[in-house]
Amino acid sequence: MMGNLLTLIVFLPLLAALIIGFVPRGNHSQARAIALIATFLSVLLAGIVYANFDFGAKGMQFTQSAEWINIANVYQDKSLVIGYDLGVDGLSMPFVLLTGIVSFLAVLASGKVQHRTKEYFIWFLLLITGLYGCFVALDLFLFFLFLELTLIPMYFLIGIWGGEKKGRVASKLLVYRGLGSAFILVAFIGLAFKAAAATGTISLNMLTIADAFATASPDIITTAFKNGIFLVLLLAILIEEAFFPFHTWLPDTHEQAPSAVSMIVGGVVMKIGAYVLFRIAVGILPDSIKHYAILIAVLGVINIVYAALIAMVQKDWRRLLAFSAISHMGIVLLGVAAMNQAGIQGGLFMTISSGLLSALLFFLIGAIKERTGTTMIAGLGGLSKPMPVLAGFLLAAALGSLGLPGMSGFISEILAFMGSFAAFPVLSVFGALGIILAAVYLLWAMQRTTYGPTTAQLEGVSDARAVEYVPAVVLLALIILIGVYPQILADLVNPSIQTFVSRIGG
Amino acid sequence: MISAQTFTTLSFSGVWEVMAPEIILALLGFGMLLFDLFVSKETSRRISPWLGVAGLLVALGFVIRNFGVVADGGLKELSNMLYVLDDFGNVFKVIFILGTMFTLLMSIDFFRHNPRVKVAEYSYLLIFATVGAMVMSSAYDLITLFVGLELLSIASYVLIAIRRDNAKGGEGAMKYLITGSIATAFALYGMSFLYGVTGVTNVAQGAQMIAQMWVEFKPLLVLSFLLMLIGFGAKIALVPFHMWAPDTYEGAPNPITSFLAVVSKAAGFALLFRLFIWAFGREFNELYIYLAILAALTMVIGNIAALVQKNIKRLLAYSSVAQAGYLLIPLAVLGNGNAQENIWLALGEITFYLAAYLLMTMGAFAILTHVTREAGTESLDAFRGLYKRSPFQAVAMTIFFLSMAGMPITAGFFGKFYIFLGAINTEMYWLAALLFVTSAIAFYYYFGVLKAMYMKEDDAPVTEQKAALPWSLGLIAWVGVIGTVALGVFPNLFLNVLNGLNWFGL
Repeated sequence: MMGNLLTLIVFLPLLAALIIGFVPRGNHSQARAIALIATFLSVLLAGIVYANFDFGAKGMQFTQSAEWINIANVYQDKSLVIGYDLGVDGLSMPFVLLTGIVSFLAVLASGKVQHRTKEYFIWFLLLITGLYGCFVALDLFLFFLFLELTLIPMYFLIGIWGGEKKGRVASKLLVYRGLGSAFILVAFIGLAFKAAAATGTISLNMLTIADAFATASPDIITTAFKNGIFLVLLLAILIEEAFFPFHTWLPDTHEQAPSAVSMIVGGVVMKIGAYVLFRIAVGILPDSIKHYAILIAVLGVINIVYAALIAMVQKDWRRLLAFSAISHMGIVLLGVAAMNQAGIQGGLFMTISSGLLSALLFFLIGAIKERTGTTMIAGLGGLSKPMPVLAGFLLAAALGSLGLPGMSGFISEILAFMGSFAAFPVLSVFGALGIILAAVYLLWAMQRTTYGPTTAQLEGVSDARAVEYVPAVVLLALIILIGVYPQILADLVNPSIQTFVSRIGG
Repeated sequence: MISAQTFTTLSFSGVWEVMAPEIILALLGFGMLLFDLFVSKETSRRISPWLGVAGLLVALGFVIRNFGVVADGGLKELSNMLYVLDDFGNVFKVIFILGTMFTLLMSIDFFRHNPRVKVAEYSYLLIFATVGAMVMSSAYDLITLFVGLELLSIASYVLIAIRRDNAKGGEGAMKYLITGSIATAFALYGMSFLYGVTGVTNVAQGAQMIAQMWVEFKPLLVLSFLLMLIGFGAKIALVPFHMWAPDTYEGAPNPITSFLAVVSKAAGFALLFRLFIWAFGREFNELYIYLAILAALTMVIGNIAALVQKNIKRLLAYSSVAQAGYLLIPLAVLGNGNAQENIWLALGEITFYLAAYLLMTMGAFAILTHVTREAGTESLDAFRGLYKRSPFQAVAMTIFFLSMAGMPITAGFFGKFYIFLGAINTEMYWLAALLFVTSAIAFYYYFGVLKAMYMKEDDAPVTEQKAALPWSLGLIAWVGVIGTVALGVFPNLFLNVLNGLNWFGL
């Protein structure tokens, strides 16, 4: 049982998707119930993994390993064995929990889907399997498989259930993320072959590769090679994470996606790139990050400031939130570029915090849209009167997002900037501007949305239903928990971060 | 390389041992020709295709019996080395025979809807074309090789124009005939230089002579190589010699289009591989770059041209051009390291991809035949709302297109990944990257068809199925779906067979 936990977590949603395939068409509630049960069981199991997690251990836990594909003659006369290898460590555990929580809440928030419900939940569950898989796969081939598995469902979820420009936007997402994963694959296989040159046997296991890179002599794995592969990987991450200048697909996606899909895209899908950044770039190529530290930091600052400036002029809440997320993820880049304990930790905190906040904000905006029919800031106003609860949650989420002390955004920013000020004081000053800008655009949008006179057509709208309290309360509680007791996350991630830091040469 | 051997006299048993499958099919072809003369028109229409299928099954049995007959990288050659028997040829023959069988099955449906087509003529021409393809894969002499090529080509010209009242068919056949003839002229011209320099037409003897004369006659030999490359490149529709493909694919009856796309193309690759790797041997190191450039051009132009296609058959034609680019990569990267295990790896890649390509192309053509007939149009609009009319057809087509696009857990993905590994192994990073980058561009048009199936229900030319999917097309689709997924999830099903082969003597 314990040994198969991760497999269960990953494939329960897939199993549920298959079962839904046999549910008669038009039976909305049955499909939804199956999806709810499966995602709940998955998050429950993820909780069990967390409860039994050994915080002191550095390596992978709950590992599972089986030979899957054996390809002859791949490296000289050696075979490549692709393994079905799963495991979690302190780095992936928070991502697994994030996936579990956000995916369950997103399914819960999908109650209003009436059009082709059965297919909707099938795609949604496939997406969830892909997401879990990305964070527990130890084999790069397996990781790539799960990464692509997230892409197809997203395409259909946006293309079928999206807004009026859904078709074009779905294609845009597909091509952008498709290109991103192509570069990821190039980088992965390049790493694997170079590691093979050092060890003599070829493997796609990320731990084996990381060890090979950590111990190989610089004559075999040259700095030039590392830097070259790192640039390919960086390009992939920039595309996957929608960083400037490859960011245009994200605001479009959030604008068109149904709100539950936006929750999971903003909350989890957009964190895969960050996971790759920590796991592969920081974990395997720390020297290259050092080498390109200035470039990464500059990219980070550009994203923080540019996305914040663009966010100010947005008329649509969803686009504003998308740019706000990009701006926040810029802080991750800045923190990682510093390559010290605080910076990396801050980056990780920010990734998780931004995931929770995005999920909460997109959920609330979705709930508001359902009642008012619009997400345009100009079309809203005085919402605090007809829906005090939703408006209250929105205010809390916005405050968390702009970094109010006591919430997760604050501690993340503090840590990341502590790290980056030590490494690049001048750049960090510019980066810190982002915090001020975030306060400006979020509070300004809040003020126009919730205060002022309530327009006539918004007069009679209802407030949150009981079922809507669940996502809002759970997400907000987690955001505050991390904010007031950051140790809960720090205990998890610190062993991994120490390993990373110890690998940074000179 | 095999040394030149003394002349041995032909005996029937000797010929039978080496050529049994070819002899069976050639005799069958003549038998069908006679059969048509002596029985009523009705009987001939009904029986002829089945005679073909039966003969192909018998031939398949003999090919399978021939596996492993030549152990340990040896080969069994026939009379003065005109013809050889080895696992390389056997593997390709299995692909040709299966491809032709699918074509005949698909044709049964085609005959029902085209009463004026001469069934017997069509069937034996197809069998002769297959014999030609088989000769191409086992010829050991430029003359034999040329005979095989012409047998395949001439039969194809007639088959494309088999609907005499169809103007597009005539146009397609004419274009193929003219381009094909020019291509043949180029190839022959190239061969004449080879003969002029070496004084032999045998491939193995030629290889020895080339190795000796390379330094002295390099310009002539390179010229010969390039001329042959142009000639054969046109046959497999490599860019920039691909112009005939879209028109011919569009004009030909669907079964013949799939035959051209699969069997004819596979035969071209068999020929290219044997001729270039055997005859040019180590000197291929100085020539591979031309193939790499052609592969790159083919992938880029094929995929970009496919983006704007509105006709499903033209779209698949360009897609098939692009696939030829992918298939050329294993051959093109061999120059960077042509140790035996690299050649074995490349052969594994090509045959795996061809098997995947066979399954997905045949399946896609089976479904599109039915869908376009129901809709009365070959435009992409024919697929609108297919998910509603027939979920099975929509899901099957989705799997075939995902496989062509190279999405995981399909055979097409693993095939691409395998090719990609080979390219990275020989450090052709740019070509490897281009493989997946152009694949990401291809998402756009493959998903365009999916979009029509799932997202555009309005203005569908038909809303209800008029007739069920005919059993023969259904069978192909099922085999295609099961094969594509099985090879995608468990590639070792096929890899283990390939790993055990002694391809040919070196």
